[in-house]
Amino acid sequence: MPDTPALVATAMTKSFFGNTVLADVDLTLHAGQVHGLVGENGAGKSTLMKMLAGVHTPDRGEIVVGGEQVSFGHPVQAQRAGVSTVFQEFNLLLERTIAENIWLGREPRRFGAVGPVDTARMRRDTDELLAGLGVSGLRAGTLVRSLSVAEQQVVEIAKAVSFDARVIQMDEPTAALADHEVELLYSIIRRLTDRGVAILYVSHRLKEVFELCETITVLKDGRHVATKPASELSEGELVRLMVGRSLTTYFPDKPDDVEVGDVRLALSGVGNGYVDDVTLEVRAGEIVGLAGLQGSGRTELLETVFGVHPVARGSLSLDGAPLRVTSPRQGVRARLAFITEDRKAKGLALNQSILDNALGVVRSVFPRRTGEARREMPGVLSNLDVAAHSLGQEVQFLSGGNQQKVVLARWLSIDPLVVLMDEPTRGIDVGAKHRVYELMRELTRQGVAVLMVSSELPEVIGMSDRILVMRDGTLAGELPAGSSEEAVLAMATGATGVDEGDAA
Amino acid sequence: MTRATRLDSTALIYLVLVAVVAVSAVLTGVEGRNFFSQGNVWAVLTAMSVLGLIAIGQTLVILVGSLDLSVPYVVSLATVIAAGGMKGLDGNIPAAVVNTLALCAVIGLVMGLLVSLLHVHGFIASLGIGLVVSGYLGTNYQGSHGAAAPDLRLLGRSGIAGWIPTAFVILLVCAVLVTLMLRHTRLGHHVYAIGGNRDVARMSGVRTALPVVAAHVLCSVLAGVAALLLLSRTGVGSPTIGSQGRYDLLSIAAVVLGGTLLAGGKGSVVGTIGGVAIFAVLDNVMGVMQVNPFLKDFVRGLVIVLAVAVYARRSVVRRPPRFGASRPAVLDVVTGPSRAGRKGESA
Repeated sequence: MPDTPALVATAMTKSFFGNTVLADVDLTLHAGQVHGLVGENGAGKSTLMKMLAGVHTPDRGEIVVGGEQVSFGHPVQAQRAGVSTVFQEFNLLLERTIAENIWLGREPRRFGAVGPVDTARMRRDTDELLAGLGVSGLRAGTLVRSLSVAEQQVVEIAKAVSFDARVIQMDEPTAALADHEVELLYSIIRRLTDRGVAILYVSHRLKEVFELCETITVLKDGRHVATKPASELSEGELVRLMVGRSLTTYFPDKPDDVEVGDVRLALSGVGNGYVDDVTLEVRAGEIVGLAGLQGSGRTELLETVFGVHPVARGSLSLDGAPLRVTSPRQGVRARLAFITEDRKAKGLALNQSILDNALGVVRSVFPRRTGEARREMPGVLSNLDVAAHSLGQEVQFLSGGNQQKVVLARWLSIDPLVVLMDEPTRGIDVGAKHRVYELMRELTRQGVAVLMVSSELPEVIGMSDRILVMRDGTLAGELPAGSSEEAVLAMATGATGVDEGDAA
Repeated sequence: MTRATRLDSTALIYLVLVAVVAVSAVLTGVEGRNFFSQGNVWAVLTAMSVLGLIAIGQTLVILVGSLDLSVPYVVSLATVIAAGGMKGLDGNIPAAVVNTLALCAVIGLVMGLLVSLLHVHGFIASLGIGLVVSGYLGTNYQGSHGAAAPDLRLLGRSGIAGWIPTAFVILLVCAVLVTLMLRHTRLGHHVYAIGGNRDVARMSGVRTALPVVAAHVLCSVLAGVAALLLLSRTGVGSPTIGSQGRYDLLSIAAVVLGGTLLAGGKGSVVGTIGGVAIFAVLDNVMGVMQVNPFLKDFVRGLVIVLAVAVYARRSVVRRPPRFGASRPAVLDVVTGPSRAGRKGESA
């Protein structure tokens, strides 16, 4: 390619406390191209991004943007040089408007350097930016609090673009999006590349990486493994490069010794403000997947079963006996476990120790069993392969995967009959995902009924014995294990006339 | 707009104010007096002005994510210093006023630096400074001190057309200036940003120290101005006038009642003035009805707790119910495929 690359990073090296997390990694981004960056959690993707974003200073290595060598001591310097980053955790002020968020720290002013903020220009520029991204329906003056996650992400991207970015890094941009919102993101990315912006796309979702990226770089244990055109790679090869494990062993096989038993959890015509007329059964030893678009009422259904939302219509039963829960506490007493979607906000007390978190549920609901649970917990945690230097470590310092394992340990301690899982593998690395899947199988062997919500179709299809699909708060239908992604998606969107294509 | 257009908290607070005024007018009428008489309006507006100025400063400090518990002691100190400097002579007014406000500014500066550079929480920083000031006052001043100059006392009695006291005009001017600052300057925008999320502000290149310091300095200076207004009415400096007025808790209460988030990042001076007005009207009507002091405080306390409970209810982030209520608009892409007609998308 004759033109200069948008960004060249060479020999990027970084260590924290003597621990090398990134060693001699090279990366070249070309204008108008999407470059995928993949690797397990802890492979060094985030560290690399943060160095390019000016959050971390590299120990060694140089960054050249548009032919000029640069060094960043602060995120703002990186942005001024044309490198913007959309982090996984949004950096937005909820109580401020879209315009105020985008121009924060560089509000345009009238009459020179000490004049008042030019709010009219701020709004105009914001509307232009949003229009340039092809987004309608967002107003510059809307409070960010009132936006959906997808809309907030659009604001983040608009903010990144507003720096006249030549390079935009996106960290797991689809982690919080539903499938149809991913379309919006794709169209925005296409517009950006058409304008000659180089995109560094970090994602766990390989399907997206293949759909979007021209080139893919694989990192493993802080080292560069490969950079190849996407066309020369298959998903299986990519996973092997990432973990040294092939795709076929990705989902543990359904064990032969599991007998699907009697009905554990049954819902009959259950309805309230969020879901309506839901009738379903989950049997002992069965994993039922709950698919659907974000906002289709999947989370709300689990919350209703667990007692977060009152049941207005219909009835529930557990092991044949009527189940009446009006609070999560009663849900726990009935031996329901609920692994929430947002583990940082609802699953864990981040600044408490691993042990305290793992014992949290038992301690508050079955205090007399705490002693026993405390004795067993080290074994449970090591069985789950929680990597930590001690049980006293605060969970906020654990990786996402290890945090999720602590959440699981916390719920195993009540010896549940039914486990409700909401996005059990969101934002965790491939190894931890595998452990979660194995655990689900182990649970079924013990006769536990598992009801799992997931936005990742391969996961739903690979793990479930049956797949229930939700649409607009009601059950749209049921599909057998191993159905195609198209079939699930068609049912979830209500699309008709979809060809029976082969799943990717 | 299909988005839920709920009444914002400022509109709500003024609706409540209108209701409180209406009820007060009736209750005052029952006592055989007129709430809207010239004397009573003057009394209410006068009562608003001192707490109002302090509450404006408190609004700034709370918006930026801090808190100022030192205001009563700063007010006391300012009356003593100003009265001591004037010694009852008009010629001393400029010097005394400048000295007083400069001293307040220094106190605010110290607090602001403690909060922004040493990362002491405003609650503790202002508590500490308040104790220091209060200790200084307690050991150096017994009883009233100095005398206000006649011109200042005249100001305390002056007004527009006998209805609106000058003190209230000063309050309004300050409220307008601070509102303009918050809405139309970078400093103001950054005050909201830092109160909303300090890390987000820092990552966006905002210098986080300056707005925190500025808010504390302005708060202390406004407390000083409030002290001068108090002095214009009482005529002598008093080392206990601030704590008697309980301006720390009352100003925080007025700010919160006005819809400002105690955690910072959201709120307005306009709301605060509404909160101050509600307190002033309640006090006035309870005074007319000769309600005993305990019941007065009971009512004040009840109002605050109820207000915060209402706000807390309103600010809970809820997913909108799907069945039986309208749903929010779905984001659309101009060039995107229509949602219903979307086909299988695996590449």
